[in-house]
Amino acid sequence: MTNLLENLLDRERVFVVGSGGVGKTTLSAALAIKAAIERPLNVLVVTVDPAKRLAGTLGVAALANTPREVELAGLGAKGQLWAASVDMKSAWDDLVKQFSPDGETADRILASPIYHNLSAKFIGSYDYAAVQVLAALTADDRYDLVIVDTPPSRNALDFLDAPARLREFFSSPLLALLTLPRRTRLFSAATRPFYLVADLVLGSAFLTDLTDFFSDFAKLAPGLVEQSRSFSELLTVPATGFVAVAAPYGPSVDEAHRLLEALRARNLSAVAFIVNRSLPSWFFTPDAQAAREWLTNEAPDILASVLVDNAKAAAAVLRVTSELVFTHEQFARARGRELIDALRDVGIDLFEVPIAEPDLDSPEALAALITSAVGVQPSKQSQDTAAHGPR
Amino acid sequence: MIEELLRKRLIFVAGKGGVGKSTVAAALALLGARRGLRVLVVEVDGKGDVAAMLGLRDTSFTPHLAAPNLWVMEMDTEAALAEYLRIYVKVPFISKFPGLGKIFDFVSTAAPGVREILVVGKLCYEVRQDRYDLIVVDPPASGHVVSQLGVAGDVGELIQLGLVKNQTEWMLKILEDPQQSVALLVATPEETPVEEALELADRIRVETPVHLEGAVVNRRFDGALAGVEREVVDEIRKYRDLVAGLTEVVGASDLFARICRRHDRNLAVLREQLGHAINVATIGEYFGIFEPHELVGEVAEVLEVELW
Repeated sequence: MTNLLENLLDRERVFVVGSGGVGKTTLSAALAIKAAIERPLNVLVVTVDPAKRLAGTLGVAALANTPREVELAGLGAKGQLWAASVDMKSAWDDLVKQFSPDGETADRILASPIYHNLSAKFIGSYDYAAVQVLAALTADDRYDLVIVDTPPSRNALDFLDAPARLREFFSSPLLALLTLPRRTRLFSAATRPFYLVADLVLGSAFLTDLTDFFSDFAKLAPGLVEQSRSFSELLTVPATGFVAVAAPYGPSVDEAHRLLEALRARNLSAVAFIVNRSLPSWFFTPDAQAAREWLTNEAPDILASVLVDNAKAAAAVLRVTSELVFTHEQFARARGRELIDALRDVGIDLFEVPIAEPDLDSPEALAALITSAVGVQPSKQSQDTAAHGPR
Repeated sequence: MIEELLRKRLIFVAGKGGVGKSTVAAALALLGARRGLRVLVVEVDGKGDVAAMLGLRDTSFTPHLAAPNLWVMEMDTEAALAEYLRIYVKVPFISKFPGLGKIFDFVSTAAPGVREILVVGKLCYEVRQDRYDLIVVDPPASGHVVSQLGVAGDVGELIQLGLVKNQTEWMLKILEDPQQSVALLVATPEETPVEEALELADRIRVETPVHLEGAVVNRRFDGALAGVEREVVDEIRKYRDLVAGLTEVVGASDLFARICRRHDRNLAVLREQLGHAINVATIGEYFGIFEPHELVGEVAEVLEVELW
């Protein structure tokens, strides 16, 4: 069983994917720190999930689209660590400036209230901006390893489809329709009813603003499409890997399978699966089961005889022994063995990252989190099959 | 005081992904329905979680009955648009152009706010239609809910004329009336979710017309052994060389206590920063003991006691 970090080091880019609340941001940062400490690499971690706390933990004032160096003083780091986050608004502004054919078009777009709403507030545009920033950062030669924390979305991989959606948008009849010269529009039998209804519903002034805006916006297409295409290609090259993350409780077994299936369907290479915040495996030995029985059956009498001088404590004995048993039982049930068992034999390196004991409030604590990762062995049966090899 | 919350017409359950929004939305809806209210739960992100938790296998734009008095619908902007056009744009030729819906769908994708206003418009429309006493909304992740709730005002600014402009005015009246519409924040008591919940609370207050009514902290570890109980635990520790496995059991309890302390600390931060006008209810961690559909019933009972 290789260790978690080793799995990532033969890649140039690693995307950390999984549903919300499983700890993607923390693990991304932790992996990057660990890599920069252990190897003489220039490591960049990009968080797409805007997390201020991460900036605080890394000891930088704020994360921005332009990477900042993170000090790893006193950790004996062999490499360097950089961190960035995707700020949607400024990412869009940069893209407009970069891909506008001329300054006037850029100024018009940037001044448009429609652009303001589109870029700053509305759903979907976030993914595009994120993809464009990532495209630039992941293609940057200065970094040997880029670790990307992916954005929260309805489907863990939605955001990876953003480049395709963007290309689709620019090649769609919608844009052609919206940017059609007004005169042609009014005489086109196909679009006339649309414009009549649209005028009625949205108001003709808004419609004019909208078509003007999209006429300009369409000019960004060649640059944006080109960059999103190269990003899409980058996702499937061997140097790009995906780390899937899940949390050990709840209905996550199905979710985990769906995630792996979604990666496979997109031809993306999964390098590891991490079950995050698992409970320490040493809690759950057969001996612990025996100790629970001892606590239930024998301990109360023994303790009562020992604690006679402390009446309060003696009175608390039953409460305490049953709480100890109950807590241990709950943990045993919640441990997420189901998830681990379900993933054990799917043919991907599987790791448990135990629930953090200290607060994850420093680069050191985050690095320790990766040190604590434990590889999960495939079941005996599956190992035998592997040893014999496929027929 | 749960009565007060259940007297609202529209409750938006807001929070980051993975904190249990769907569970809270389903539980709240179930609670209302058990008390005889006609309740509609609306799933905006179409993942089907709420429906599954309430024991339904399918959802659609047309509400499905999940339990007595309890309906579940899935938001579908295209269907919402078709309904909108049917109701408000009484133009006979629409039905003759089957492609029209498609064209509109893509304008709704491209034109800022049109999609969001269709979602919020449908919700407000249901409030106005009065077919349900209470509508509980399970929206998509954090930032999106702000766009949706803020949209009536934003679109009002963008679109000065036309039918949509007229629509936003009555919608705003429903959304900004705290007797009718409220947002309920959901978080877990870990550092990042608390921080994001606080950011979301600010955004709801600043960028949307909707009143923030309270917060639910889900999956809290609570009830660590304390005081004299710790003395008993220390006494038990003395037997660790005699009883194999005791270290593990006590170790689990120690871990539990440490997590409880961390959660208490984070909860205090949330309470303090939200301000004392905002009530915070807590739901314990259930450790995967229940299947999702059983969990909803449990959480509903907890909310009944916990919610102000």
